[in-house]
Amino acid sequence: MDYTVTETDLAGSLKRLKLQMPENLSFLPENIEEADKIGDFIYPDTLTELKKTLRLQQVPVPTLEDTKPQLLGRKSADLFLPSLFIGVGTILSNPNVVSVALNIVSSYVYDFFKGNPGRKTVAIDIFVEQQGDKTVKKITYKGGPEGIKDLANVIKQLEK
Amino acid sequence: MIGYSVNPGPLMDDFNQRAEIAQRKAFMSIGQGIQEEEILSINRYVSELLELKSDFVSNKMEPEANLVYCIVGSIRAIAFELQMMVFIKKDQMAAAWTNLVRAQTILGPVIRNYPLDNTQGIEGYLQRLLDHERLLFPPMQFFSAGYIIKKAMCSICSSDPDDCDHLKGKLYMGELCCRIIAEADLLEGSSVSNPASKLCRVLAIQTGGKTIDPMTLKETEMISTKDSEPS
Repeated sequence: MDYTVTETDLAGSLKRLKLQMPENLSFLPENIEEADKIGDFIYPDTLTELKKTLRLQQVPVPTLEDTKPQLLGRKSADLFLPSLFIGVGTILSNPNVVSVALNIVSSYVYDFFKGNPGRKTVAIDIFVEQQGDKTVKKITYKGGPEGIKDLANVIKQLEK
Repeated sequence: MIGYSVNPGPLMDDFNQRAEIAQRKAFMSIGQGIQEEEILSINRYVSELLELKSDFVSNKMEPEANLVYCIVGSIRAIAFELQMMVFIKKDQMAAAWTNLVRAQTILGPVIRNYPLDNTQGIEGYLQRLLDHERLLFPPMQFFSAGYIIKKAMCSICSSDPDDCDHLKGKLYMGELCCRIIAEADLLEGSSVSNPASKLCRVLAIQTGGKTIDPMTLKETEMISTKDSEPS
């Protein structure tokens, strides 16, 4: 599986933007670490369909801000997914929600690439809040569609 | 086949027969006139199918309307493949490429939404079209754009896609749900090898004081946007 895990100062980025750390499973803008203000937030345009797909399957996942998200379209055959945040609260209140959400994301990816000829690459960042010190680690995945499901195991290992 | 009000068997049998006849003519050695006649025959068949779909839509028969969408897409892909061959014979390579890309592209939603169990036949056909791409055309360089979407609409209900339940790429009453981007701010353009659209390709390169079409290696005129810029 093609992924890396890095430390990230998400708390610092949110503090700078005067935002609270989300309690539930949330979508984060792809420029959360660089944005100067909330109005600069950008999400990949796949946010609309993925959010809808999750909501229609009773897994509502909000974005960080209440306003209408700014979407970035890319005319590329690669699939850029919005970043996911998994907080300690999510893990403690409903441990299954992460694997359920990843299964839905995985089905969405499978459907997206069905009938799409050529190389299939999907990119997603997942921010995982640690149970002990509440620091946040970022999983950066860029690889084939089949690797998305397996990210649940990577997340589980990070939670320990 | 759950959900059909009428048995789709005869419709599928008719499609299979017509597709088989058309595919027998989709070889480079077949006469150009025969291929052109087959394209016309497919177009007539598509008109009949669209009338049938319209009846299904009027009667709110969604599975049947969606099946007709898939049949139309599949048979039109064969027509595009035949058209590609006709254009190659006419030495019109850019038009041939456009038709090959259309054939490949139209099959994507068909495969994603195919209502019957077995998609192996269509996926095999898509592979054949990819083989055409590798055998008949040189590797090409493409372009890809990045843009901020300012205004978008759902093609099914015209709402903002954030506010409706229609999913892009799915069929609703025989129509493909698309996102119509009405307004966007262009951010960047990149040169890529794996584009969303293979129609966004390099049309001309300058080398050795000459302007060359990379698809044919023939000399061509430089395509300039300067003339079309507003003064």
